[in-house]
Amino acid sequence: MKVAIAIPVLKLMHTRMVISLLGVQKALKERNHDVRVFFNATAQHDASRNQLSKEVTDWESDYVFWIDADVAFSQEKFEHFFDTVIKDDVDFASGIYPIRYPPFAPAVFLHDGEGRTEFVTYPDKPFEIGRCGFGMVLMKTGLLRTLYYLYDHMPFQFVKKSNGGMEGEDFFFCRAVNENGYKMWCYPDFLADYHDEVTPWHMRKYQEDRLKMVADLSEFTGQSIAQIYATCSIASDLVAGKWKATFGDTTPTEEQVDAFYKNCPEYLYDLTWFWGGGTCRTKNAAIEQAKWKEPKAVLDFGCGIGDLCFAMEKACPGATVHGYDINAATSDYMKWRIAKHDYKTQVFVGGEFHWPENFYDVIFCMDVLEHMKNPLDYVRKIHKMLKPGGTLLAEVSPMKAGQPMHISGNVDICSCGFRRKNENEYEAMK
Amino acid sequence: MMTLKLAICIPIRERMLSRFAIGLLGLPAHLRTRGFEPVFYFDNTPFYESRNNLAKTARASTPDYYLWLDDDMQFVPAEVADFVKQAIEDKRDIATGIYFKRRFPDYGATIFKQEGNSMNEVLSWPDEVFEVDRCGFGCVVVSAKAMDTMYDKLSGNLFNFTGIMGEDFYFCLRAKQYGFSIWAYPSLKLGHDGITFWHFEKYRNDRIAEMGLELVKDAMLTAQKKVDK
Repeated sequence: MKVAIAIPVLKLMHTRMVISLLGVQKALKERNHDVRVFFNATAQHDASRNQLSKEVTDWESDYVFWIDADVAFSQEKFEHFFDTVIKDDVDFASGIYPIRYPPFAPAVFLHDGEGRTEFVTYPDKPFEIGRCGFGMVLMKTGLLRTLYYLYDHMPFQFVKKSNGGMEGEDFFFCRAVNENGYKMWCYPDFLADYHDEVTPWHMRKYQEDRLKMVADLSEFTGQSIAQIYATCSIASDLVAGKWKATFGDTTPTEEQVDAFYKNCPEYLYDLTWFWGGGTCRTKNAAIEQAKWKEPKAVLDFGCGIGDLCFAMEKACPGATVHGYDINAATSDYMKWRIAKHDYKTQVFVGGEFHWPENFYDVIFCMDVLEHMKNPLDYVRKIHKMLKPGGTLLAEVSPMKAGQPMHISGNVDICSCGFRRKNENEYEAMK
Repeated sequence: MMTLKLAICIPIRERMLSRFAIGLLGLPAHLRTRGFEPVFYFDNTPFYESRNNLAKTARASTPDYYLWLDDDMQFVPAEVADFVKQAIEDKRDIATGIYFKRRFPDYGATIFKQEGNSMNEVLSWPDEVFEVDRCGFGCVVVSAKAMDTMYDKLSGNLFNFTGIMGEDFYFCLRAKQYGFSIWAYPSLKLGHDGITFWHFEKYRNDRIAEMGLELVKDAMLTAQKKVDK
């Protein structure tokens, strides 16, 4: 069998990737395959991939393995991947590697129209995907040849999306694969070890996400974008400073803690920075965990400015999504966002909430319990609100310097009728 | 045809020039057709430690020959494979290809001959293989016999960065002392990528000290004109 390895390169390659590639060559040679490596150093990745497509189809290879110059993996993983894909006789198979910007989700995506929904968690076995990056893709050359001629020698194209953003050349190819009736698979066992270069393109997307959040807050407060940026960047310190000014080194009572959070507008900026910065990897993982459970009713306990609720709305269409918080400022802003973006989430502030029993399938409690004087009281209430076997997705940040608001570092959730399933997932035992 | 095990030893850094990587990835196929089974060894510790580490690790697999490659070399894989084959057929214990230093403006070859008490750059050479006294380690074939002998005699410290001479020169010095000869193969010409400010500044400072500023300016101007032509 003839196997082509196609690599778009620039001036430098990751040494780890080169070592991986030597392993790939060796593995294929040991299987008595005819292997040839094709490089192309054209600066534009679309042109580079199109030229490589021509070369590998001209060589009449049977399979082509696309690999990017910044991913690296073990020879053993590749061998297993290659053998399985050949055995499964699939047209298109990708390995899995993280995107290079926070929240570092895998570069494989659901098929969801123009957008891209990341798999933050995924099954152990090969699963069907809608899109993927081309960091490590094995495909039949027959598929490539078909698309190469069908798309006038340009199966890889950069395309401007309707929202003004750019779609990568690999996504265009994936769309073509889908539109022509081929299926794409992800083999999660083939996990890249490294993908550690951040490009300006990635940085721009990261910045765009943050800008959208900042623009919302700017419109809500009437402050300029610059003012919002400036305040957001120090918001965490502002909250900590306010706490110290209010309580000094004394230990506040439960009523005092509640009173503090009921009127703390600084959290508007702190949470905007936190969610807009894309650093909330655990939250994205939690959303993905919750989504797979197909919940009918979801509560975000301590919903802040609402992003987790909005994400759940998108992830689980039709589900009832509730948010609860005691902070009047953040809740007002959340209500404003619900109206502006036409979200369906219901938000309850303080006494508005009726603590319904056996109602929710999933409750989020992310970065909330550590702020409470008696967190276990609330864990018990959460337990009552969950259906039997329901899920609590909780993250409890540790007590640390600079975060005096974290007054409860160790919260034994399992002592309140929960069984821990993994890092942040608890099942309600009833 | 008997297959010889060839240990390819490469000190590396985080990144690799694509030109080198492309040459490297082309090498195994050409070596195999010439009767060699390549085994790659990489090490990313500082260069003098790196070579000693590589020697130690590679020796453990008892290769027949070693090919030392630097990650700033640029080469045609078939030519390197030919060079390895030829050097081994000629029964050379140490053999080098020819490439040039990166120091501007004197792009001298990295092969040297001892003349009296001084070690001089080889400025011109014949078309045939010729003996030298020192060489850079950008692309060097070393026999297992030479490696083993030196490894034992030097207790593993084959490449000693003394501060007076580079670790590659130290290897050559000791090799000559232990009776091994070093041969240059003009048939293998390699590119040598990358120039650092350290090289440039050091060269300039050395020459300033030697010749005085005005002379240096003049020399560099002349060299630049040659390059421009």
